[in-house]
Amino acid sequence: MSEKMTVDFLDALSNLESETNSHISRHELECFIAGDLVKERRGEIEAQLLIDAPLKARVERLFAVERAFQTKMPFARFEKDFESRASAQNSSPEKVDQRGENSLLQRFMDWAASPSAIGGSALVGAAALFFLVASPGDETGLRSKGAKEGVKISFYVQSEKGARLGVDGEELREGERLQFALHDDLRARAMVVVGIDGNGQVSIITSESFAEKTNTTKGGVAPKKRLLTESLVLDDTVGAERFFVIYSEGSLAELQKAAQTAAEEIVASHKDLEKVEVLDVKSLSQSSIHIVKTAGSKRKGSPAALSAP
Amino acid sequence: MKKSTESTLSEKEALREFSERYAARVYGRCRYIIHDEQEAEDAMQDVFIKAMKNLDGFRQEAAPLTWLTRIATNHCLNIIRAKRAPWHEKYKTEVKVRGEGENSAAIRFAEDDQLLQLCLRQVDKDLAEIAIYHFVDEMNQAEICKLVNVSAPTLRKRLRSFIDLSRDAIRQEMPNVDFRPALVCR
Repeated sequence: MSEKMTVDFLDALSNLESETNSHISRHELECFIAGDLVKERRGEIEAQLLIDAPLKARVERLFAVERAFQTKMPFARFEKDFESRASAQNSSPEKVDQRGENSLLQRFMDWAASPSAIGGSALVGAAALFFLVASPGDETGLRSKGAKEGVKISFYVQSEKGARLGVDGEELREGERLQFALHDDLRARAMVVVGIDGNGQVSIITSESFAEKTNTTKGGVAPKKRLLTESLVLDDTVGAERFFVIYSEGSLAELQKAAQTAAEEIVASHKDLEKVEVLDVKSLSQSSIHIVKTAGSKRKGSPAALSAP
Repeated sequence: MKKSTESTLSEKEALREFSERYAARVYGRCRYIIHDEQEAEDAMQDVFIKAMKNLDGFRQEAAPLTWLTRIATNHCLNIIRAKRAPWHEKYKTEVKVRGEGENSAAIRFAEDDQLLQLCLRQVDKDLAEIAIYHFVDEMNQAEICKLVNVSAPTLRKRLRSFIDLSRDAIRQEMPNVDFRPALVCR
């Protein structure tokens, strides 16, 4: 006689009856990620993320789903499909194909961004993600080295509407502004962020000495990530561009030199920036992310240089 | 950072932001109900087009994503009901194949999810919609009541109805399925 399967989910009424107010639904987390929650509720969830590892894991899984989708359907393809389908269904040209300030699309975005809207949040990704990497009780000792042991560098893409968390490997254009966020290695005495662009240009984006910091008292990774004050406006170079963050227990000068040399070796050996993830540098830990710059500018007249906000 | 003085985005920028904020989630809903990847992509675009056309019907007390989710759920439920795809043979085959060599936890999750998806095809759209919000979106009573504009007792009654109908449908096709004893609804 075959073993009977039991089905649990159909007894979910027991959950319905005993619901507590602390439950954060999957849908609400999706609204949180989309930036649709009111400020107060967003703040509550951000605070909860600081102390609730399972909740953080849930949000990270949702972000992973989003990243997978964006990889599968980059904006160029979405736009093409949308316009194609809208044209095919065009029974009312003035409603679907209307262009300009009064188009329904524009009205929808204006509403979603307005303070009077229930959402009203311009910071789709930045505020939400700022707390996501806080790992409660995470100071359990030294973290393992290497990029795969934990993301230490991420970036936000700034726009007129605010900031959103960037996706590793996403396509960006000239004129878009990036701001990096780091999850510091508390053991380090020096840190450097180095970039390699599609033309093989190597740049030290920023560097810091941690000689005076509390890295001698605790190991592990900083519980919160911090935003760097510098921002980077993308120039017209196309192709993959990668940014490495490297933490070292040596001096800053040595690290800068080693990082520059290692990055130049990457360029000289024509390694694929979409695949290489670490520099050949003696380090405590390092991590990297990359973008793919495509042709076409976001806006005119943007300076292709570092600038403070 | 230099602050823009422009109050509106270009249409391309608006569409880009729109897709970045909502496309993944709307697609996820469509894919969950429809299964077929291409059809889900088409459905996602149709949902956005519908939303654009019906902006005047947007209830401003709901979050945009909530509104879009509802449109997507109903749109996709209509699609699968129109197709009335046969499900039980495909399900049996998949479970049997999957049951060989995999751990029980993985099978359990897959089975429950598949069972839910299959049940959605067997009940009225109103019941299916509520079931999705409860089982998939994990919405609480208050959220669902507000979204579909029903009272809490009505919600519990409809959910109970979904459970009973689903059990009957499953029992007819899968005699070796066992359910826990049903709870009495207050």
